[in-house]
Amino acid sequence: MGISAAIATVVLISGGVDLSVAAVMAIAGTSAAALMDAGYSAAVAIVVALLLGLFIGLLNAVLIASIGINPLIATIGSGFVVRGGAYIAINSRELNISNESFLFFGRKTIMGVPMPALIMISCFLIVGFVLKKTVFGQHIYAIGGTLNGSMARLAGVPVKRRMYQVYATSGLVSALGGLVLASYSASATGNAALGLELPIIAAVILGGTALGGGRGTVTGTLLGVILLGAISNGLTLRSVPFVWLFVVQGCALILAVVIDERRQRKETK
Amino acid sequence: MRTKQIHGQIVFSAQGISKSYGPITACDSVNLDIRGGEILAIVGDNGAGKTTLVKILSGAIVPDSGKLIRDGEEIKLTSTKEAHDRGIEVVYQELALAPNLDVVSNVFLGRELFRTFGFLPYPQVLARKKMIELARTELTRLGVNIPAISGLPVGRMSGGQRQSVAIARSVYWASDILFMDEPTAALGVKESKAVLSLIRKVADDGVAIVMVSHAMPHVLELADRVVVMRHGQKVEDCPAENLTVESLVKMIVGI
Repeated sequence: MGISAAIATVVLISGGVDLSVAAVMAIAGTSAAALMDAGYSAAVAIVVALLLGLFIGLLNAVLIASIGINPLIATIGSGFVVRGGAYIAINSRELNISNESFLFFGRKTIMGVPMPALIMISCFLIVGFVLKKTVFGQHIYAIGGTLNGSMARLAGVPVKRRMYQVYATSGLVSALGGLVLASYSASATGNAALGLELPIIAAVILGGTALGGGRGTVTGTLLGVILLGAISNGLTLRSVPFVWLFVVQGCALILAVVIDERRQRKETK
Repeated sequence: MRTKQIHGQIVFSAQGISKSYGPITACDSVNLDIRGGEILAIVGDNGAGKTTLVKILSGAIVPDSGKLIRDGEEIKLTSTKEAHDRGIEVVYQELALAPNLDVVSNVFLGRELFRTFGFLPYPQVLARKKMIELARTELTRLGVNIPAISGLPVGRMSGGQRQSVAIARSVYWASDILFMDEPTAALGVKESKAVLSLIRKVADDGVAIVMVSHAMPHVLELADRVVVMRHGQKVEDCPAENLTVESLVKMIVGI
């Protein structure tokens, strides 16, 4: 979840949204599992899954930046298609993964730090650096500053190219998140990460990123992820039934948007 | 950077520019000379063809017929990008500023300075300190008074300050010819004054300024020359000093 939240921060700052991330996570896991099941090496499976994520991201970009579909609708649609594809890739079974080198990602520790945490922290560091320090990051903030990046275009920012880069990266990084998840759980199912896109966005918004774009930091998102994680851990530890997690996450999302709304109103005053 | 222009020299001219939209003639064989260091005001009623003319001159619209001559050489402008490359900029008021970014980011938006590591093309790391320094120098030179150039989003500044930033940006980017649409619209009296004096300062640097405005007192206060458009035709082209608000309004409505 943290890995996808890092890239979701970028998408939201640019004024867009990518709701297909959870489905991309699922298809990355199932396609990699299916390939390894068919006898391919872990390296091949990983590369193919990542390329698949990149490809889905590019398709999203075509819909959003070239055809001009609202990103919300475009990625809900592509999310459904991809989720279907995730089931098809493994004939709706649940595949167990036993390939040792693949499991390295999700289960090993380096100097006591679990690999998933290490990958997530690297993602946050890279995204933070790109957003704050590079030309690309500057353009993302500028595009999110006005509706459809109209102002950024007048100023000479290559808006369309940036949108392609944003959604393609979103697909790629989500696929990485999906691989880590599959590796961690040593299995792949079509309903992996089901519904995870909403807690991801909740974490990003809780972390102070504006729903309409133009403002936000990856540090905030990290705090949002930790907060939501702490809530769900707390519920588990207190033996609250799992289903209540949905209720709590839903409330957290609504609360996050309410906070965002109030903050915006305060700013425009 | 800007090539030094001689004051009064013709840097850009339009000859017999026409443009029709179906049965409507927006521009009817208009001739116009633009001189370095001169502030030219284009006035006219709504629908008189001012905006179309400015759009043609800044490359946003291609005319049906007529010639554009830049420094004695005939040119074709098919995009605003080509116009930029020839030193022609349009100040799109605050429309072209990112309200969520600070002044430095806005001045360099789309043309950021960056450095890379060795021979690697990426990452392109923003040279923020250098940009702050350059922006501060330019704003000081132009006498633009703003609360902070770094850290404060321009959306929090006043309309006049934002307009000044927009103008300063265009000037910084080495344009020889600056088009401005209603530079003082929606500004208070004091802010208008600041913007007007900024425009004068820019013109004194040798930049040719073409402004479209409905604010007649501002036009008379600032412009060196006034062109009046009516029904797509240029009906008057004379020095501003001979005009009063009354005579100007009469020319615009045609009595």
